[in-house]
Amino acid sequence: MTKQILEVDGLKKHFPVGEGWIASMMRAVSGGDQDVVHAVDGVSFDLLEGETIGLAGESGCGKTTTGMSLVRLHEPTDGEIRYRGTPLGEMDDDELAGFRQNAQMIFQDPFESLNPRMTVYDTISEPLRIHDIGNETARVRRALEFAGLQPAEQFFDQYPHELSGGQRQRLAIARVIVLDPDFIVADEPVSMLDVSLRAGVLSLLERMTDEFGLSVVYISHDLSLLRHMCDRIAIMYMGRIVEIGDTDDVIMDPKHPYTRALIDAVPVPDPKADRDRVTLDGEVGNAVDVPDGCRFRDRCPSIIPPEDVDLDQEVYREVATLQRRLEDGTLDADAVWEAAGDTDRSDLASFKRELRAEYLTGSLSGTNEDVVETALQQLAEGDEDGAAGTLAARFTSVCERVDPAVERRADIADDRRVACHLYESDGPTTASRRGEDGVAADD
Amino acid sequence: MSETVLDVENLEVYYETEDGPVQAVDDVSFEVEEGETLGIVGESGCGKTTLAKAIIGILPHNGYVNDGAIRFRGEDLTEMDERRRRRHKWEEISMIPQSAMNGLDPVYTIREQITETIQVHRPGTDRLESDRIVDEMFELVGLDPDRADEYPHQFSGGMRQRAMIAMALALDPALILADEPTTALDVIMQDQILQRIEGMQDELESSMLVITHDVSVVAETCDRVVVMYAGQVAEEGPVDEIFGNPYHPYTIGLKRAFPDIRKSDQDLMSIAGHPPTLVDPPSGCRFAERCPMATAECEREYPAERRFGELRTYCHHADRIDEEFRPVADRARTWERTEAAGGD
Repeated sequence: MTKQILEVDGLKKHFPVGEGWIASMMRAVSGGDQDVVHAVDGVSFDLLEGETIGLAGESGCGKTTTGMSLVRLHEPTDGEIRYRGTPLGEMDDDELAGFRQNAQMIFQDPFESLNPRMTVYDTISEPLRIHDIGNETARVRRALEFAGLQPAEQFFDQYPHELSGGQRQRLAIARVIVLDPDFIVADEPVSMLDVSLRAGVLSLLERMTDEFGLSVVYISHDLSLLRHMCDRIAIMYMGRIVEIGDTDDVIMDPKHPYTRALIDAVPVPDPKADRDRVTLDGEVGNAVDVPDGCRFRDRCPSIIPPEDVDLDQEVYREVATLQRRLEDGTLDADAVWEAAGDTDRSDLASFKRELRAEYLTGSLSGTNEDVVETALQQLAEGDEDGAAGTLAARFTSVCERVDPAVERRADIADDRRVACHLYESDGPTTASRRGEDGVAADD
Repeated sequence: MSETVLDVENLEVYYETEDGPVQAVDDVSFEVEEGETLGIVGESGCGKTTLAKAIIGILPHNGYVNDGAIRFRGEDLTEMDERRRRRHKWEEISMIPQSAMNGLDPVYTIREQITETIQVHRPGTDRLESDRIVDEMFELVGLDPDRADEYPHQFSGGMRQRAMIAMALALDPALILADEPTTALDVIMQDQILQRIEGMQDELESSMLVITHDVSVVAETCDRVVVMYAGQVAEEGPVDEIFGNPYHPYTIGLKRAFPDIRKSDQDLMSIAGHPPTLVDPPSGCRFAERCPMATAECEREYPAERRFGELRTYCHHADRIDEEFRPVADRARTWERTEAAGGD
């Protein structure tokens, strides 16, 4: 059985916002809690020996913060990362030094991640000196040659500005492999490189993985690239993993609605391809004030109505949107009154008509219609909370109430974990171990 | 027969440098018809952005048109004096610049910025009319017109990009240049912008020139494609032909440098080496040094134009591509010869 290099268990990293003195004085007066950005909010996965995992998601989903936590460039707020069984937080200085030698990171921008005042030789030999490893020149030469910077001696005395972008990224790779690490986090390793250089650097990375038996975590929003490079892929949304599994399974047959939208959005180099498009409304939600329930629900094209509510997805989404707007106070009743042309607010019927025209274009009937009508009446009478409550009592989705755990699903055959209520939970035994999302992979 | 909006003929754009003129664009010709979207694709340094800047007339101070013509509806822009040219700029030809999301002024609302553009080019437009244009453009690019009165920092990157597109469309230009319109964006945003661009193509009669290194973006948005290499046209033709049956080894290689999400096990080909310096470019085929098909002839002589239906290509060995090159183009070894020739 393959050994785990890294076990990530319920990793959280929150960043405080509003740390200025005015904000802190305001807090002192009002007694409120400090706001935090939930950059990473409960991420669990294992990295096996020799395995490559891709972390994908939109900007701001927490993939880079996760990657930086893995090599301990961030101290986790909560949760645990174990390296070969030992939690990073419990390591003594020697163990930590050993970990730092074995855990390396390649950054996105080779123009910013290299010290402009150090020569190529110094750049690569510095980590050797820090870790007190001898036979410097030979190791530096070997690393450079491996990275395709040949003949190595010619590069020794050059400075980063004398190198092209592709050569700089090769230098960054040479600096990483000179320490013979166990695992590497590569954050968008080729996104700053020109087209024709990408393939070259990618094949170098592949060679590196094979020859050194490395485990690699690739971070990228480019799913075509991850498909090409990774054994497994994890899709992140708002600080969580929403789906993780074998790359081919995830790409060819995405289960989570977000994964599907993400994959459908990838353009393909074929003018004849007529790809399906699921348009995602809106933007990634607020990472400071994270919603209860499923974090993707406001943009989700497959939100689940309660069992006895039999409505088309579109109509249901309209009602759900109305309910949400009432709950978070973003429904502008004044504007509706204005649109209804009734400033003294006596013509309740025209208010309701106007509101329906704006928010509820689909047709409702039976109990659904009755409940909506009651809510609209309450709203017309000025009772926003009452209207919200009326709608909530009937229409609240499981997606809104319950935060789905990322876990194995009974109705998905392959070995993947998905955080979505559309799929059957694998039973109560896999309930959260830590935080909201603590179900560790059992692979 | 539809009208030709833009006709670029034997264009040469040079940059003056200490080492002598850099021939960034050299003998480039192509046409853009009304309502057509033309893609210009190539790696950085191939001259595609220089070309766009020459067309709209914003070359940096050391850049100049050495020879050739850029005809916009028959009128040569390179001959036009600066004042008349300025009127053309934005009103007839507008541009969605690279990293457009950073091109907005942070201290003015989006509406003020678009209105200013309208006022400058159509003095006397009243407030109501310009507000109406702003609202209409916002709807077109999928933004809520109510948010036009917000400042750029209140918009996400993708929204700012769309606001920039709205600004480029405001004067209903006949030609829109889009320079890497989606490069700085992530997948979801990129897809939204591409959908907007496709929607615009249906709704407006404007022609578009899409400049990008991303062959997928070209495949999805363009009718025809110009593949540029080292300042010259390597190949040009309808998008289906360029992707389906290209004849230039560079086009074939470029296509294989991109991973395709639909394919599980693909070998990516890298075209090793780098484009020649354009201060003193080789007299023969500029791709010869990196080309697996290259012979002595290629290094000596610049290839003449060859036509295959609607496709034109510049390769000495175009006739042999079908039999000798296509069958081996997918093998990594084919490109290896050049791999040894140098890093990047």
